Amino acid sequence: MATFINNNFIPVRLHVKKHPEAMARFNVDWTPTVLMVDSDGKELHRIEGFLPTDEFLAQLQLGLGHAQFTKKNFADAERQFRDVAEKLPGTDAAAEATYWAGVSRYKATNDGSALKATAEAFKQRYQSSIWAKKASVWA
Amino acid sequence: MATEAATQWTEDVDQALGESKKAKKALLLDFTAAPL
Repeated sequence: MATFINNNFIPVRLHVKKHPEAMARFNVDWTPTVLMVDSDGKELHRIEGFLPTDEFLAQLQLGLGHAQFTKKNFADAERQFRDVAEKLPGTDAAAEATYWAGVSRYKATNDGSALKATAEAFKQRYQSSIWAKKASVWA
Repeated sequence: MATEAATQWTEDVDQALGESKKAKKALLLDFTAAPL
C-alpha cells in the first residue's frame, strides 16, 4: 500500500487538531477523510470513513481512473477501471469500476457496443449493485 | 525478507501542491484524528 501511494501520489497527512485550516480549506467535516486533489487543489476523488486495505486500494485506483477520465484520457481511464474490476473483484468499488470502464471505452471509441457489453457484463456480476441498475438502460 | 517502504507523508499542503505540479502526481490528503 505504501509503495502504491508513494508511486502515484504526493502524500499529505493532516491532523484535525494541528491543521483545522486545512479542514476548512478542503471542506472536510469528518475523519478519516482522504481526498485526491490535482496540483491546482481541485478535488478529484473523496473517500470518507474507514475502509479495509483492499477497499481503500480499490478506491484509490478508482480515483486515478476518474482523474484520467476528467482529463479525457479515456484509454488510460479504462485501464485503471479495468484494473480495479479484474484485480479487486470482491470490493464494492469493482461494480463502479466496471460501469466506468464501459463508459471510458465508449468515450474513447464512440462505439455504442461498449455500453451494451457493459450491461451484459452486469448480468453476470454485481447484479444487485446500483451500477448494474444504471447500466441496465444500455441492454 | 523484503519490507515495504513507509509512506512518505508531509504536512505542508502548499509545498506538496508545488511538488505535485513538478512530479505530475495528484496529492493524497489524509485527514485524521488518530494520534500521530
